[in-house]
Amino acid sequence: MTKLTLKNVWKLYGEVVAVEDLNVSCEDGEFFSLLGPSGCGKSSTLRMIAGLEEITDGEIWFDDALVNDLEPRERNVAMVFETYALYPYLSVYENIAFPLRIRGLSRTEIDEKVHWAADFLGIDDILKSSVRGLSGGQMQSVGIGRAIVREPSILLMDEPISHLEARQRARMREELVKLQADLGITTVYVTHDQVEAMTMADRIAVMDLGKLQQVGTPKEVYERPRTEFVGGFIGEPPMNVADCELTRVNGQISVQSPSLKVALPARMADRLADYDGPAQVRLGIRPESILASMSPVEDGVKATVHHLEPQGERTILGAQLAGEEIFLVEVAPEFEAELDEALYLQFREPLHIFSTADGMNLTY
Amino acid sequence: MAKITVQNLSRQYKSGEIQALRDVSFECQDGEFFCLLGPAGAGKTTTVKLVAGIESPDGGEVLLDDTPVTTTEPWERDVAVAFETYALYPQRTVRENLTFPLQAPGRKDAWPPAERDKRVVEIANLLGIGELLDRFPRQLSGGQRQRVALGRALVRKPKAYLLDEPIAHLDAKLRHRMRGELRRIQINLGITVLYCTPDQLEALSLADHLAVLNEGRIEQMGTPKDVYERPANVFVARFVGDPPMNILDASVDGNELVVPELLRLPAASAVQDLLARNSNGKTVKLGVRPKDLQIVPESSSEAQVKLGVEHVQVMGETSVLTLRTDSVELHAKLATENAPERGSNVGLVIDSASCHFFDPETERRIED
Repeated sequence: MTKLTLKNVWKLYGEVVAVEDLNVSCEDGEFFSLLGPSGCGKSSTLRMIAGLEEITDGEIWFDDALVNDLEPRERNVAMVFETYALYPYLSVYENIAFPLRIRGLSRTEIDEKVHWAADFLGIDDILKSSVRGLSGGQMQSVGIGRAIVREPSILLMDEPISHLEARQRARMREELVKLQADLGITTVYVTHDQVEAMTMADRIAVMDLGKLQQVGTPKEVYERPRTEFVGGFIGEPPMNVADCELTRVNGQISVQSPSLKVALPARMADRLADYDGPAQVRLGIRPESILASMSPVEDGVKATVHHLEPQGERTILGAQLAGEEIFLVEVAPEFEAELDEALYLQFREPLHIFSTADGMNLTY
Repeated sequence: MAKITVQNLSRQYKSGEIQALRDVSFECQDGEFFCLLGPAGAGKTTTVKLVAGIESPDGGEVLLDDTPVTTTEPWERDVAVAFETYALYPQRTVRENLTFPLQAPGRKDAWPPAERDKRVVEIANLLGIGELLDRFPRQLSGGQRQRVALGRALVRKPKAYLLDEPIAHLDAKLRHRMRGELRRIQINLGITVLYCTPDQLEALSLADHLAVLNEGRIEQMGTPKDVYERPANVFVARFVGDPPMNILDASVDGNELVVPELLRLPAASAVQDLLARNSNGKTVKLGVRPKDLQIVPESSSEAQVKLGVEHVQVMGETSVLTLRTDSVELHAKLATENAPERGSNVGLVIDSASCHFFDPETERRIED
């Protein structure tokens, strides 16, 4: 049971800043995800927690112990990699037993622990098999078995299921969550896939270009993105974002562009009351917050039907605005429209206004 | 544009060890967007190779506009192919890569230079790579390279386009945009497209008709609506739709459906009639989509059973619940604002009218 804290952690590779001033903590027993696109610094961060990379500056604490100078094996962390890194000439049993053998545990203890781990993961029926010839999902289970058999303080996982086929991934996601809940081990899970992070983690740290963008629960990062990056990265279909200008007329704040004019509700107007930055901002709105109608509506944004993506229980409509932007709108599955037909859109809360200077959400 | 017909196609690899395709037949109409949907290894890419003529089938025929082409060389079939793996010419610029298919020196369908250049620019702009024309493939991102590969297929005007996962490596926003653009071009120009994907959402959103492929066999063919609303068997029921349909073993008891150790629900008379026609006695496989499981408070009198909420996955606006008893695990989908807490109990209501029924042995849909 370990609480993990990163204080002002930096990682430089020569002149390249891979991780910039990272402050984040992960509660005891929490399933914590580091999420971001390639190059965002998530793997470097994980490797620093493991002790596989030197920390350029800052501190990493496991509970009250500063671990900066501890070797990986002294930290009692276990790591699961995307590429399993199993010993190809050993059996499943021997792969899982390996970390215990090198620590000199007795044969009975090893046997007990290997069976416990295998049983836990549902792979006790393949203990005697060679690891070659196992499916991707099975191999990853062996990798996880090898990690948990030592009962580490912290479990680190680096994109462990990214390469598995869609249905295997969906199944492994559930199994991993259940596993972590049953074991209660503090777990840090790195992924570029927002669906994985959203469906598995208690909290998510979203990173981009080495910087922490936001830490929050799945609900928080979805509903109240702190930056435009988070807003656009979390959620599928992605959030619609467009350039526009803030205008104030008779106390009413609106955003407008060649494509749209939207009056902002009181909540947002309050938040923007003291805003004195540039008038150029970015409007963000999710597909489910836009209402589409074939007949004109008051204050509606005029658009044309660019394309339709029926998806069974709903349809995603691509609406082309006057300025050529394409906004994705969620409509009912029975919504019918012809290509290039005129369409009228109404924007509903939650609306987001992002700064063009630093991407910050100005209205939360 | 051409109709593509595939009759009884079979293809094996490694002397029969791998049966990639088993007796596959389908027809993609002239001007239609036809999707081959299936998991990895189902036989989609093999089908594209056989239609393109890059490989020969072990059995069966390929026809373009009702003319057998099974023994016709690929370059004489006049189809354009884009594979998931880009295969761009590394020493040539994007412009040159896109122009190449139109040059075909000595061939009767080579384009005049002025028209060629115009076409290349047109397609490049459509795909959002107009500013990359003078770059080399090594200077491009994966997503940009994939668009060049797609452009190379689109730049010609062949009888049909065969696209094998052509946008798999693009980011989410771009994928939506490309799907939209592809569909628009296809509809406006009336071109025939055979499109492979493992992504059921993508197939549903693009296809006029689709074939669900699994282990070399076609499981179902139809419109997206057919396949989503009336899946022909348990495989299709669970492959199309996310999260997958819940499948429960049930038995018919008078005017009720009984799921052992779980619940009883009243069977509407239409459902009773349907099940009376099932040849395999009184047991069935009952399918219900996560969105059709109604979640009510534990104390509600409507609840057919009470279940523990093992996990809540917040997808965004909707959440997926994992509900569990000792014998059964179910997934339910509902609006996040209505989602219960993990560890709480909820009541479940299933309406038999929203259920799908499958034969317990053959797993085929019990039809009305």
